[in-house]
Amino acid sequence: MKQVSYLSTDQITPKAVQNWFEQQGYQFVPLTDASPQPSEAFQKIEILILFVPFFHNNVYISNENVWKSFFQEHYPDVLLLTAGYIKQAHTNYLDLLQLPEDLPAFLQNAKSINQFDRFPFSGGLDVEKKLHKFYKGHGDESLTYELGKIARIITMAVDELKQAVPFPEIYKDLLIPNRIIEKWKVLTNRWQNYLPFFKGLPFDTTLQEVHDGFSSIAPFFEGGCEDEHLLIDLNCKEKLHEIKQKLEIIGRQYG
Amino acid sequence: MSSASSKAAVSDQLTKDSASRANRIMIIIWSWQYGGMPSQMDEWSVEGNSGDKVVRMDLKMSSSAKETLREKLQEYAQQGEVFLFLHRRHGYDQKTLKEILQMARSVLPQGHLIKSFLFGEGNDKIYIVNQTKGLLGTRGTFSAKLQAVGIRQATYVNAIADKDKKVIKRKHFDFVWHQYSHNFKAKIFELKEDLFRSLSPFLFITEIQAGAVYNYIKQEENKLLMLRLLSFIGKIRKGSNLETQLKEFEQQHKRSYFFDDCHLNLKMTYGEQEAQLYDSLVDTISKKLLAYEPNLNFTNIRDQFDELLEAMPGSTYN
Repeated sequence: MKQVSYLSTDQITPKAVQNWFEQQGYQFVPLTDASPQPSEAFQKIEILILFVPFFHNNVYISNENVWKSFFQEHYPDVLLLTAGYIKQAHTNYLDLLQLPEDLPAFLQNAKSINQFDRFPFSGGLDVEKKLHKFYKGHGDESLTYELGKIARIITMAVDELKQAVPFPEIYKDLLIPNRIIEKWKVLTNRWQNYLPFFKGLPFDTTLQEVHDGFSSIAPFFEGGCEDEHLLIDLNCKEKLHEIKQKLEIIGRQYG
Repeated sequence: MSSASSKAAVSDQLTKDSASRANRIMIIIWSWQYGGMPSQMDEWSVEGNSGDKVVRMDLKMSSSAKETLREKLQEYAQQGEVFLFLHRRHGYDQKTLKEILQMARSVLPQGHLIKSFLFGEGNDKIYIVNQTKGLLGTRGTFSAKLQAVGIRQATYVNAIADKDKKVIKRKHFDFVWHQYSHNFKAKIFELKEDLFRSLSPFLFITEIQAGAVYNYIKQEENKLLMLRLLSFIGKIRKGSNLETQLKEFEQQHKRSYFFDDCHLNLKMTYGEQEAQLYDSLVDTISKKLLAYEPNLNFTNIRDQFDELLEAMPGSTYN
């Protein structure tokens, strides 16, 4: 029996269509890890259906085209479809209120991931636009811009410390004039604002690592940046660069 | 006016407003005196020296309060677009909202934009505890302490730019304005999605028996859906048990479920066409979905939702 995998934040609809899939000769199974890195589990998928829009943190999020980019990059052989309650006609979209009579024929006619440009928009919050602001927004919107500034200042601070510049001097002449504490607050506020919208995206695990990275160095900033031991012991410079790199990797493909 | 030309007219108006940067004014009735406001009302400007402002009022519902509000709405509507926020706990409901708006609009020339919202219980997007870029903090203030998951220290969020000069931070003002510009569309969209997800067990029933869907929605496990639908069709009375139950769901889920301010705004802000589409959907839900109608047609209900959503300009969320 051929397998159809699915990703959904909605528990009711997949249960309702389970029998229909099975009657038409398909095993219908949830993808339990909803935030995968490219992994072995994904290599086994032949057909994947995304029930869109996803519902996270009280907002309906339309992320279908971000998932398309992910599969196009890593698993172009997977037959990717969306399903939902929006009225749309598309070879790779299952309108749940007007399901095809012959599912095998429908899947036969669906296009491979490289053969179509975009999925029809599922009507929720456009996560592609959010990602764009996250990476390329100006002033109040871009997180990576703020992160870059902090990483530069902390790198300079650690380098000076290694050159035996006394920490109180670094604090007075570099950290305070550059308003590092304020910048940190802006950065973490923005991060908290964006994070809920990025739930359920293919790079969810990486974002969790970024979040953990921020948490691990937070004590230095929350302590007013006054403790040189925390600056070194928490590996603030390295952590910030790791975070930056992780976000840059995501940004190159989706930003 | 046809649907297309009506939509174009609204869109033109929005473009024009945005280009000319019409002043934006929020009048917020809330427990400001509890937070230290010495008088019944004051005015705050917004960073950037524009004509945008937040007008704070602490006014329990009464005949004289309605009269005061009418006067203020007339006054501020002359200065720009007005969003009126009424705290439910101050005694305001759909009925009073309608009266106030009708009184104000009757003396205003056409084209003055007044949108109004009922809010309360800390569940709406105007609250900082729900949205870090919100405006209303705790205990009648513009600030709140937030504890974020994974971050040890609580974040203090303050929407004030300059307390002495009474200036609000622009990003908070802009955020709330934008959120509420889209509020009705998001609520209707969410109801539609949640409705069809809940009704998915009926997807493969070719001939739905009369009343089967209604009986299903009436089940205890679907209570929230039923309450939202009843609110959508205007069947939840102020002070009723149903109202209390829906408020409890709002508090529990931190979502906005009431539609008591929706119809009026669709009619008075968006236009007659949107109000008619809303009425028509209300009719379908009342007479078909929440009734003993045989052979319910889900696609027809979906199409009506879509038609209404498409008629409302802008995106579902910002």
